[in-house]
Amino acid sequence: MLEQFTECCGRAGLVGAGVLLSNTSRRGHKSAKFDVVRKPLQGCRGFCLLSLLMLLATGCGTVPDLETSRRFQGAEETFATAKSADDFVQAAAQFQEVLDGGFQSGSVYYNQGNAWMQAGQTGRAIAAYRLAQRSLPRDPYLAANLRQALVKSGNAEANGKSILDYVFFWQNSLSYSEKAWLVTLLLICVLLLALAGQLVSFQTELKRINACVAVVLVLAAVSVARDWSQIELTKHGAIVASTVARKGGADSYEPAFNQSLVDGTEFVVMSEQSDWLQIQVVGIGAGWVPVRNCVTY
Amino acid sequence: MMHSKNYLLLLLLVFPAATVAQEPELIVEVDRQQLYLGESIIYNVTVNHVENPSVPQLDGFDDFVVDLQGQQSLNSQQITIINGRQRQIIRRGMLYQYKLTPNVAGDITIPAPTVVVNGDTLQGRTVPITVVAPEEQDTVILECSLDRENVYPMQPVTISLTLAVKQLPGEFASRSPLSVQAGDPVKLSVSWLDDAQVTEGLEPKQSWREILEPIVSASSRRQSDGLQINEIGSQSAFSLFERSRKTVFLPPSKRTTRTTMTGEDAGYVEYQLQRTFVPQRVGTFRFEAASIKGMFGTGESEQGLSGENIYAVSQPLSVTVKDVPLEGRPESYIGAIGMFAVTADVVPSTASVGTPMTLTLTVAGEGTLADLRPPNIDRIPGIAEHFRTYDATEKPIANGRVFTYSLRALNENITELPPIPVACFDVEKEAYVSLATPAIPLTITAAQQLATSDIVASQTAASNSSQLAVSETGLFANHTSLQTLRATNFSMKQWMTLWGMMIAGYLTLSVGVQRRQRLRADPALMRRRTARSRAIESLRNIRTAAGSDDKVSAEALSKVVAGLIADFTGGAEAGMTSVDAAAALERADVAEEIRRRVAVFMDQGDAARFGARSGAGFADSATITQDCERLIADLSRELEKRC
Repeated sequence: MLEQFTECCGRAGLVGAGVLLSNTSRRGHKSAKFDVVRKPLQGCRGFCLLSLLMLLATGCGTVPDLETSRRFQGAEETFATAKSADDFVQAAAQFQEVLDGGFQSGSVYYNQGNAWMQAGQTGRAIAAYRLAQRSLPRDPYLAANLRQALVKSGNAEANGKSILDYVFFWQNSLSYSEKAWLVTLLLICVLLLALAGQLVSFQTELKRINACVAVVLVLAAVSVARDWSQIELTKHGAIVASTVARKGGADSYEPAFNQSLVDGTEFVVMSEQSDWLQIQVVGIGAGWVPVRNCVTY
Repeated sequence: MMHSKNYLLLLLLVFPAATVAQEPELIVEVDRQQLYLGESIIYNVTVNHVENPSVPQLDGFDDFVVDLQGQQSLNSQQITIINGRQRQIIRRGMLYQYKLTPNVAGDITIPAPTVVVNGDTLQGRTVPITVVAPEEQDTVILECSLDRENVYPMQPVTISLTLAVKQLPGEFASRSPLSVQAGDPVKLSVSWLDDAQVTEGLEPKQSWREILEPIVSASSRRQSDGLQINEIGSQSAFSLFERSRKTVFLPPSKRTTRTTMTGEDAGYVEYQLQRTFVPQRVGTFRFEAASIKGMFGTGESEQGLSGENIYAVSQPLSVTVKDVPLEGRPESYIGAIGMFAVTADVVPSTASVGTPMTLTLTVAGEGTLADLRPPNIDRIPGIAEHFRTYDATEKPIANGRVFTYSLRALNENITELPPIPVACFDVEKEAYVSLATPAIPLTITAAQQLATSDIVASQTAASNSSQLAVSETGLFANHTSLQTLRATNFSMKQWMTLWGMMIAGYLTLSVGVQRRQRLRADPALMRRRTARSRAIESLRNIRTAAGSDDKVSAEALSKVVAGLIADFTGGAEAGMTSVDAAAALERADVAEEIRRRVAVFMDQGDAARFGARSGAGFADSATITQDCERLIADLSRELEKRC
């Protein structure tokens, strides 16, 4: 388990955390002059270790098992040999089986998005690409393919940026889990600095440094909270078949917009009612669409 | 729970570390060691502690059909530090998974696999297995057949499975023999009905769903008339019927008569399943044996129908897909097998001599395109002498391919592009078929005399149009590497728990540190804390000063006790008499017995100070010291409670 953690952290690029622990450990064995400092720092070391061990429980990236690998390769093979739209749908379904098996991977979503694109199902492709972006925010190929899907659906990505987007300029460059790691590391720094501030003589300088780190921590935490709100509290979706949005949850209501919503139109789900979804199309307005014509995530 | 000495510090460091090297090994595992003939076992071969191993050699596996299922890298690297010792563990290896299907029954041995590592041959272990042959019986007969055993690529071949079940005895004869299994339908295993097991190169004409969906038994939930196929509905990942635990299928049936093992005629119910495959390439393709097992009604008893557990297996089959014949192969054959149509187009159709023109040749239809190659138009009469041609480029399209040639007319006498002959192999007719594009009218004029400036401009324009640029269209490729494939499951709840624990840990440590600092700021408290150790230290110094003479000063010992009392009670040590000490101890509510001992001891000190050292009641130095030691211990214990 510990070895898995080490490997895990290696993938997460936590060399810095390891060095930090190492320094703390060595400092704890200095001369008796620092006896007063030594014991609390030993406690710190245990505290840090316990914290890092807990990171294991929060889930690092896991490698696929043999069955998942086989399914993934099978889906890839289906994709590679596909000749018709039906074949690509079959490939997308096989990628879905990998995901349904509990293996939530950005690469699998990306490949599934490609399969949906080749099958001509732009809405499903956009949904898959969006899910992939949560894990692979800096993948240029994913960004390019998503852009193509959006262009194909006639829904170019919004260019307008809010003040918050400028403040949190890294928001779309780090994945959800990377932001959580960042918060964890910053929290460790803040707590260690705060603890050290109680023990050393140059407390004022330490407090200033800690205040700066704390500000960064708060920004990182807000960034995570934004992701949390966007990913876990907000349900998104895309239209998968051209459909008329209505003003209520039944076919008897008048159309909500002057045109049908085309395949690939993205929306946010506001509420659900039997087989209908109340949706908000960004920049346009709200309406009701049948569940069968949507995919949500 | 965890002592600091025992913490396991896990670091990721880039500096060198002691590497734990381990010997290469070949690990062999099987999922079971007893099976029926016709069934398969999973055979895992792990090449451990070897970086980039070669594929294991499975020599001597003649009694098995070996099918490589996949491979998985086991490479990993960890660095651990345990109690300050750094340790690097590197694992290098590969897991190869095979499916082994025995050809023979009995107690047989799976031979040892071998792999060559750094020039040495590494050998795994042999594995004994028992292959149980089906018993001779005529209740259930499983037969497979092919409509043809030798075909050309793209020529469909149909495999049929006939399941003959002897009709039920006596009064049950009219009932379906698959309807009496009481909720535990018999299990049929047919590899060629499972897309995951269909051999590469064979393209099924229908999906397994198209074959099996129409025969889902209507009474599956109540009476269970039918059989399970490939455990669909209970285990299959491809199940359509996620909520159903056991999907029962009832293939079309008919009643027939067959001759039994005893030579008598008996009634049978025959069920049939078929699937058509289209071979995509040349080769020999094997269809694994089908098998069935379950309880079948075989007799009557007083309670009704009695049955037997029966296992039956069919013979495996194979079909040979042969290459198209060399005999009679036309020169214009382009490697297309199937039914195709050919079209051609030239753009522009009006041009001057030397002007580039584009010939687009489209070959599309039903068939295999694996070996398709562009026609060699240089050899076509009417093209070779009138056009300069350039190598074709090709682009795949749905069910076909587009070949694009560049042409330049060599003279102005050309009026058309001649027909381009193309030959394909028609598998239905089992013969080559010649096709040709229609002639394309062209207007070729004499070349224009251009000014130098025009030529320069032209060159510039040409270079611009051919400038290399990134195409903005088309999708970027899939992520295909298993090495980088990672799941990123994320749980906010767990992260919040972690952060909460970190903050709680910090608060706990912080409270501890503050408490310690507060204590250090209180001199009286610090004096009480160190009183006992100071007394013991003073006693040790007195002993050291006495040296080998073993003569200690009762006065000095008395001062140690006085100091101890002063430290605990916060009084002045100097000038403390036995009376002062007794009063201080009484205020501290110390037990009477200890107060009395202190008074006696300090009185001895006073007596020594005033010259009564040799008086009655004085013990020797060792006794006094021991008395003092015991008194300090008892007094300290008592005062620690009270102060």
